[in-house]
Amino acid sequence: MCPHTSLKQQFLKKWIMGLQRCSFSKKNMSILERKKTIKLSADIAMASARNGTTRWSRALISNASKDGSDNRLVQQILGPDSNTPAATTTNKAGTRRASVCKKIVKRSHQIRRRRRKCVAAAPVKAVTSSISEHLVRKRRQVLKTLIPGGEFMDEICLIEETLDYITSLRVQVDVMRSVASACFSQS
Amino acid sequence: MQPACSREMQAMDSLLNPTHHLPLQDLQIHGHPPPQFDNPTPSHDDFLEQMLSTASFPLSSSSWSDIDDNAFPQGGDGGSNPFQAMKMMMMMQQQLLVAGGPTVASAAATGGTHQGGGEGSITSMQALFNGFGDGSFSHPQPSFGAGSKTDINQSQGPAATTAAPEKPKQKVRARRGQATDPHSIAERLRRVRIAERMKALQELVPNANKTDKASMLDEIIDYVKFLQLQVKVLSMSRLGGAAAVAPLVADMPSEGGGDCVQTSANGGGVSLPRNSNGDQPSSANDSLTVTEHQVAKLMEEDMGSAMQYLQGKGLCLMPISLATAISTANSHSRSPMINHVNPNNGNHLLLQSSGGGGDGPSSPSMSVLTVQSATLGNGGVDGAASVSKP
Repeated sequence: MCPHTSLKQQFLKKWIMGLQRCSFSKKNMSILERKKTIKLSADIAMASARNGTTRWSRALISNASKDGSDNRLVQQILGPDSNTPAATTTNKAGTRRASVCKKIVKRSHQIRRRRRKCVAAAPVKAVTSSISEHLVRKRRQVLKTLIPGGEFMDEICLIEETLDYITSLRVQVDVMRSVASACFSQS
Repeated sequence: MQPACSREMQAMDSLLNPTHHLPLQDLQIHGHPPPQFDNPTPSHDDFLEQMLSTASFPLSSSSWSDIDDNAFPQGGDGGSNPFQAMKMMMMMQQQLLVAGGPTVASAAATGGTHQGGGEGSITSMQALFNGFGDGSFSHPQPSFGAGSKTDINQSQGPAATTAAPEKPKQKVRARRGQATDPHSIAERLRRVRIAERMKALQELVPNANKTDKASMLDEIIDYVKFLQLQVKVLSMSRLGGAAAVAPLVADMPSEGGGDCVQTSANGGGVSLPRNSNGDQPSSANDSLTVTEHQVAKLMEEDMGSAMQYLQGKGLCLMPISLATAISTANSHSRSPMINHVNPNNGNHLLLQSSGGGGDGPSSPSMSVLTVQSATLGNGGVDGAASVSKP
């Protein structure tokens, strides 16, 4: 993935920093905690690599910082960027309001379109189109649950965020795999 | 002719928009300047100026105000403005010819300060003008293409005056096949943007040759789930040390709540295998862990017995690099439930042969669950046991 090398390096740096900070606090953690910290640090590193440009990263960080137990971890990992949680909450509220308004407008458009369709189109066509719309809508709902912070996005935004999220997930997987193979190939 | 038409329309649009004040001023202030019959050395904007000024002669004030109202305030709808301009032009030409006015090639009447516009439009303007000068209005009609055929047909009605009152109705109709309703325009724009982004997603997600939107979304969802699962399992593999099998396997359903990423449903789905074969009871979780414990124990003593035990269960041992290859190959097909873990030392994992084992890579739903044995702390045979179910 040549175009992602810079992103990979960024992610790696942040992740290692986060891991170091976490491991300094506790010496012996159970398996679950370790796993959680690793995953959490990886996620936070990935999200912070975006510098708050994408919504999913902001949602991820705000979700993590909402939880009390993880908050300490997040603060440690993020380090001096402690103002990001406040920013993310306001962002989310603002986007939520905006998306609610957008949803209302969209629903009115859909209703209007449906009315026009019922009048103009043949009944068969209307039925099939409504079925396909229903299918697409269902899948979109599932996608919204997958992407962090996806429930508050409209369709265009959702697809953009999915794009970004997929690339960052890929980067995460590649880096983790290479680190694992590097660590464990020696022994 | 059509590209030339679009160019000239653009030129006219650019001309009319910034300069529409000037001809009005000409008419109002200077009255009717006499036409000048210079040699046809055009700069097309001068020609336009001339036309506009001379067109004031035969025009009644009402029709001019009609044109004024209809042509000029439409700055917003860029698509219809050139057509409005063209309509205006043609109407004025019509009136010129009807009044028997001289055909004016160009003149340096007023202004001449705006030398804007491309040079390429000059020749097309000349051609258009010649077409006008021939007195046959059918000439420009095919050149305008399908865009405003209906409009021009109507504007070139028998009388210019009848064309003028129709202008307000024609204002709505901009292009054939496209509505000017702002809602539908917004809809169209939105749909275009969504299509663009879906195309970009298609390149990113493997196996995305589907044309249907619903199946595309399906692929995207599966891929995102797969990647999230991979991250989760890879983060588990780093733990090292004595990792008990049961907590790891049992952890996945329970840790869905505490996850940053909301994949609780998936986390539970992986560890609970799909019971395709009848032997495995519903509590397959326990049987898996039991198997893995057993295998780990056996592997300590003797690899051969461990292999036999596995084969008795219908499982086999394979290097994890191969499993990685298979999992990546399967990621290109519809198999969302794949996760694998790099063990500490040993590179083995168990694979259940599905009906002969020949269809490993082609099996659409192969789930590989790898866990670390309990004997890792010994530093002995560190086998990573993994069970896959078709």
